[in-house]
Amino acid sequence: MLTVQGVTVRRGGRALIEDHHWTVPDGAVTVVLGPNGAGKTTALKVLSGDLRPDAGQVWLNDRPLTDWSAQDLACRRAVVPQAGALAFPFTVEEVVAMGRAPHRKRSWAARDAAVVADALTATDLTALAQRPYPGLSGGEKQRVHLARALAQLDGAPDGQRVLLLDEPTAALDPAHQHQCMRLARRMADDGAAVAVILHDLALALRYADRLVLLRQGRVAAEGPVAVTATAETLSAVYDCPVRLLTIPGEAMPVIVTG
Amino acid sequence: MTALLLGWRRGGGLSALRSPRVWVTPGLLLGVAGVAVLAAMTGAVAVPAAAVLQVLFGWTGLWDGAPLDETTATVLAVIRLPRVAMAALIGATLAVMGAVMQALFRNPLADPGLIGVSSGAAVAAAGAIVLGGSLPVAVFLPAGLLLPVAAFLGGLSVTALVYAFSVRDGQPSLSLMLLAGIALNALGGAVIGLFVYLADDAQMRQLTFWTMGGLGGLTPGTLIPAAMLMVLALGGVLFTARSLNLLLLGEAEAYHLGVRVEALKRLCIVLVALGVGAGVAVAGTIAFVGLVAPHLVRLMTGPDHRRVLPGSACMGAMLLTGSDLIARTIAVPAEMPVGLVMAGIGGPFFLIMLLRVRAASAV
Repeated sequence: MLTVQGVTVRRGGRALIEDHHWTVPDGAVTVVLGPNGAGKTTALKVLSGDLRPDAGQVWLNDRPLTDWSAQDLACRRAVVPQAGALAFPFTVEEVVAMGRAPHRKRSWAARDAAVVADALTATDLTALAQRPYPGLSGGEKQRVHLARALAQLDGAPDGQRVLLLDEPTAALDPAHQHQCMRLARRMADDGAAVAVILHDLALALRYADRLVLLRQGRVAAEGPVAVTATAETLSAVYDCPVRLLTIPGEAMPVIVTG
Repeated sequence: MTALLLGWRRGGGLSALRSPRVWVTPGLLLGVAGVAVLAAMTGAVAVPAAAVLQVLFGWTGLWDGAPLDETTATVLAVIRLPRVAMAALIGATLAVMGAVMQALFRNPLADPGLIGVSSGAAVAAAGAIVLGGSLPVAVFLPAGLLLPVAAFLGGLSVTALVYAFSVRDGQPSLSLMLLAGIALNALGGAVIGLFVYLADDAQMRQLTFWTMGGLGGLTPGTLIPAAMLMVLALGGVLFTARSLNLLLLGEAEAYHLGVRVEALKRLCIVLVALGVGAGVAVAGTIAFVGLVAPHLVRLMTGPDHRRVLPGSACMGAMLLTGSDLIARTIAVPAEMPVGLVMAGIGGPFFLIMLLRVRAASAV
């Protein structure tokens, strides 16, 4: 579980995120929502340990993030980036296998190969396994990084796992959007703490257990979907009318914006 | 040798093996050995291959033959073998450090010159050549040592300066490093120009030749410390291969996978500066190896640094040993600058490789 405690990040005299208090509990999907510039990516960078907050602290279980070594952290926490910058022609399989790097000393080759194969299957990439990464489409690249993160979290010590995804569905077609979110969902059902930045409200409502709504660097609302996902809160956060329409026979409300 | 290996790979003649890539480094090692023996045989006094092998294996006690005549033994032990070994070591160092820089900057066009080692060494060398005897330090150093020591220290100082300019929030930023390197390289060019302006004809000639590289001026006094530094840098860099692979994903991604990115960058820059600084100090600037050797190797092995680094070492050794062989035999009794040969042969060769890749990928 990740706990954000009074975190503030300032750059150039401006607070990118200010006085954040929220949690990413184990066994749940926490979706971070907010308009552009609300501080979603900054918040995720604080969660992953990329950014040291100027004030406050992030805890992974009972230890501050700053107390963990990069190696110990990497055995438990995986990040799916928005876009991969890899320009060298590694194959898809080689990139996914890089997710096994933190476990090198405790794992063995045959098991790594099996984990990588599973991750490729789970993300529909088996057919592309031998293709060079730079030649893939944007959506395929995103799935490769998802597969890499899945491979990284397999066999995490003492079962603590944190999966962070930065707009993982941005370049995906609808089928793969749902596949990606189902995988995140399954990781959470398996006990992992999952945090996802999303722009798609429908996907968020469909897969989230909890929402963290950000606006202008501050937390506007945080908590279970049932409490936070109201038309009033969403309209206020996005500065744009949002309506939730219930359709008889459908569990999910339909979202209408604008 | 290279063409042969590529031919193998393309022809798929080794399909029985899991991957022909594993054969690249052993193949290249054989190539190095072949070129080295050829280089040791060739020169003003021709030496048969058997004699070369006899001297090499005589030390290990694996070969007893009739004792060699004294001239042959002396030529090999004093002139040829040290020169061949040094050419191989410098070539290996420049090539491996080129590969490391390309990984560090995640750009296949990077080379050690980016962080100012070569231009720093060149500025100091120009200073040593032109101001030479009038410097107070010249009193403490034997004449032959002033130039290499100055070049080595010049390379290290400018790299340290580039590094100092690139640190932001206590961490080196690669984009700042690139810009600082460009600025200091330009400044270095201006200072060298100033020395050229001040130089007399003989000094100008020496300076020009130094910037084209050459292995003719090796003495045991410079050779041994330089060799030790290069071996140290090469050995250290080989341990970073796995981390360099992860770094290619991006700095943040490498950190997410447990790499201590800042420490890795610092270590690589120190090792590149030490290795390249030592090589440049004894042989002058030799362009091209650092850029081309890793490329050629990647075409055969793919981008994995666990194969690219050892492969580049062999490829660089082979290229520089071969170029030096040509440089010292093509215009006997004169010696051509090895950098000229390297660029003259390597350039067209690299273009041919590009054409083959273009044809193969048809993008």
